[in-house]
Amino acid sequence: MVSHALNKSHLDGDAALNYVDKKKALWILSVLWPATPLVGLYLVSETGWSIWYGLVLILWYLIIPALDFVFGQDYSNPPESAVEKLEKSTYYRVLLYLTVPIHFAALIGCAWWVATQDLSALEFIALALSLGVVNGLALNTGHELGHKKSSFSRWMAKLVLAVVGYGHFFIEHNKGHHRDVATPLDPATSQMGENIYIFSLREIPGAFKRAWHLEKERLARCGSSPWTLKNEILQPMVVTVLLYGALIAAFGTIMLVFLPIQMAYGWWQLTSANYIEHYGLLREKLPNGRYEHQQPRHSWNANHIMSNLILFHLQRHSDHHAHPTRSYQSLRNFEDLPALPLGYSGMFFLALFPAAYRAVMDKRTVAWAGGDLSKIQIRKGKRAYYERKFADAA
Amino acid sequence: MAKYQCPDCGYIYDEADGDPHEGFGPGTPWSEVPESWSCPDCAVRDKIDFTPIDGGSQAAEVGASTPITPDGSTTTSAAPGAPFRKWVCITCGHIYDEATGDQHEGFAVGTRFEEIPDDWCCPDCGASKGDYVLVRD
Repeated sequence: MVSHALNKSHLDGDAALNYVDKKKALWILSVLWPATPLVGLYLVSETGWSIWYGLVLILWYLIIPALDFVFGQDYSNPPESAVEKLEKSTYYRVLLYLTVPIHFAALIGCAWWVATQDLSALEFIALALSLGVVNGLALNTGHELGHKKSSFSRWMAKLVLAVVGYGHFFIEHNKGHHRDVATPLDPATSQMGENIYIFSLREIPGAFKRAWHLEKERLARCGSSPWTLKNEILQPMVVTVLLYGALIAAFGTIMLVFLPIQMAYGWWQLTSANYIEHYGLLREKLPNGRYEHQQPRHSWNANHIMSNLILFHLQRHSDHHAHPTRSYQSLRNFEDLPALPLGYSGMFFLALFPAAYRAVMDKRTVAWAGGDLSKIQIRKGKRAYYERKFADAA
Repeated sequence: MAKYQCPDCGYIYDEADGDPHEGFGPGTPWSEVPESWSCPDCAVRDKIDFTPIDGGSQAAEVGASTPITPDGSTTTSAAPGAPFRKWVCITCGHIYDEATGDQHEGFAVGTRFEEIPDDWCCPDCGASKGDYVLVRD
């Protein structure tokens, strides 16, 4: 009802003029968050305490969920009449651009530290995983930039995705995942009863294959083979090869261990996001053979304010999927959306434990479908089990 | 040369310019764009969903229950005397019926959807006018 009341209030026409985005300054947290591994290194050098190598992990898995609990959820929406001004504001765009060099700095800074300092195995792994979490968010930054229409934003997207070696996301997500989301065609939509480890084996190769296919198709229309620098998967890949090659050349063979660990954990963040964002959800197939349009109810949403502020509103995923080119500052909450019980960092952690995840999410998914299991994507072989389990749900 | 607009994000395919990045050279007619092609900017609408503007015509009749959104209001405006239409909010299913208007919202019987202010929001869930899609019977 909160969003309703807010949205109605603009009918008098003054709301747009008077509207102040209370989160405006706070979005800077999304820019600063990728610098956290460097802050950790600074604290190590100041105090000598090893624990700061894991600063990101402590914040991400403990402090952010705790702050989500303390600060709760934010249901407010900008009045629709203020959205045009919000979308045009340079400020929000500049924040995104500023985030890009910070991702590069975090990678290069941590690589330099690993090469020049004497780290124990535990410290080494803590730093690599910390960088991995933050680099997973390079995918978030690249995600927001890749949905923009200007070629500068799209180039920034490709550059930041190159930091984590996942440049094909630019094609895969925007042209593949968004088209096929919440259908059996989408390797990046998880099924009810599918655990994250099985899902990752379907999602990671499936995403690359779909991206390659889409780009090959486009280039064929352009009269070109996929083996060209016009290929928007190869473009960021070249940047990754040059960047990682330079780091190996500069910092030696230790990079051959460090870079793959942080990269794999960065990819895991994306897999976690994909896993929780559409778990079990299914778009209905229409009589004409097409799937119904992508609606807000086809994505799990989270309004947790703290985690949203470090993720450029990624968790307001329902509106994002219904209207992919809408910018982060304008994303809305709606009533009756399928809602995650925790912010992403808490959900990512929960997903690591399949039985616990199912205990939390399966009943919510069944409730979303009104108890009708035929409206849910269910992992092959699990349907009979769920029919028994939720026999009384309908 | 006709133009076709994505009803979700506003992307325009102009036959005169084509879209060379998508592999359609200048002058490529809409009919030569593959049916499987999706909007290159948002990907949540396909060729069949695009609305013709500036004299274009949609070759294939859009199937029943396939919605068209009202963003390009000039393209979907009803001629005087045209049958009344219904619009549905994609987020909550609220229906605006031109035939009955919406007294509570201050829209008299027969108020056309395009006469409703662009900043009007769904009275049930707060979604914007742009979240409404045309119901085709």
